[in-house]
Amino acid sequence: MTASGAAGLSGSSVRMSRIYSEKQRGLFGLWLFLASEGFLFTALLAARFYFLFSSPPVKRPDELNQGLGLALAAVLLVSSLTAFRAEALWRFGEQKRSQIQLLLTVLLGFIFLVGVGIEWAEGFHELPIGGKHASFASLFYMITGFHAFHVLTGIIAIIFALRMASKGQLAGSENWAVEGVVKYWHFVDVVWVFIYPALYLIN
Amino acid sequence: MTRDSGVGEALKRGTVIFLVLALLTIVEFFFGIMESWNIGFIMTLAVVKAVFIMWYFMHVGQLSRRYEES
Repeated sequence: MTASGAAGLSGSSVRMSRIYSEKQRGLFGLWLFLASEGFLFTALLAARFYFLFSSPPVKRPDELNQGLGLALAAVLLVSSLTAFRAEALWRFGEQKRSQIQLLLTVLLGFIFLVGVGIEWAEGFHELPIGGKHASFASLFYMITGFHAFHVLTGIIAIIFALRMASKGQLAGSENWAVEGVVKYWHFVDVVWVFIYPALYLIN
Repeated sequence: MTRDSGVGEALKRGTVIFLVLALLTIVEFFFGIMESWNIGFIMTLAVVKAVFIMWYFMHVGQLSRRYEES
């Protein structure tokens, strides 16, 4: 190997090392962000359990649409599968198929938001904030609204990633945009995994 | 392992985890509407679902391995 070749290899490996650690730093920052968001939702859910075990206990109102709650959980669960498939396909270089799965995830995210909108529209009639279930209603709108906002930001993040992918800006194994948005989407699903029983099931 | 079999394997694993999560959600729903089961049981199911998602979909288990590699 010539001296210039060795120097090139050395430079390349140094650059790869730097890129790899940038990716690691990015993912570490994402995990820290997700942890902080987790604390926020934990606090909100703690309020639900505090009310549930207070005297008199704040029960789940019968007016709550159980079918719609289950449908929302199902939509988010399916979107987690499409997001997982998107990441797996991206990892194996199947970028077109990955983008289709990301588009499906966005579509399911919109369906989820429409479902929450329907839930709120029904709720404003049957579960008003100032009504007899005021405590539960306040928590319900706060938690589901906050979560829906996270779904919306997840959708925006995926759309950004898709736009970058279509421009060829996500090429190379060092790019973690798809991995990052998919991780965020799974986090949104994990949060709903706790919100769903806390608001719709336990009584 | 070829690339095609690697993709197939990954997608198959994702589908299996999805089916397990769907089953747990259905169980959770029925125990929830029966209202005879305690909060601890339903929330335990939620924790199990969350662990599945974090372990298999978010790859939490690979975190330490990645940092060792770097």
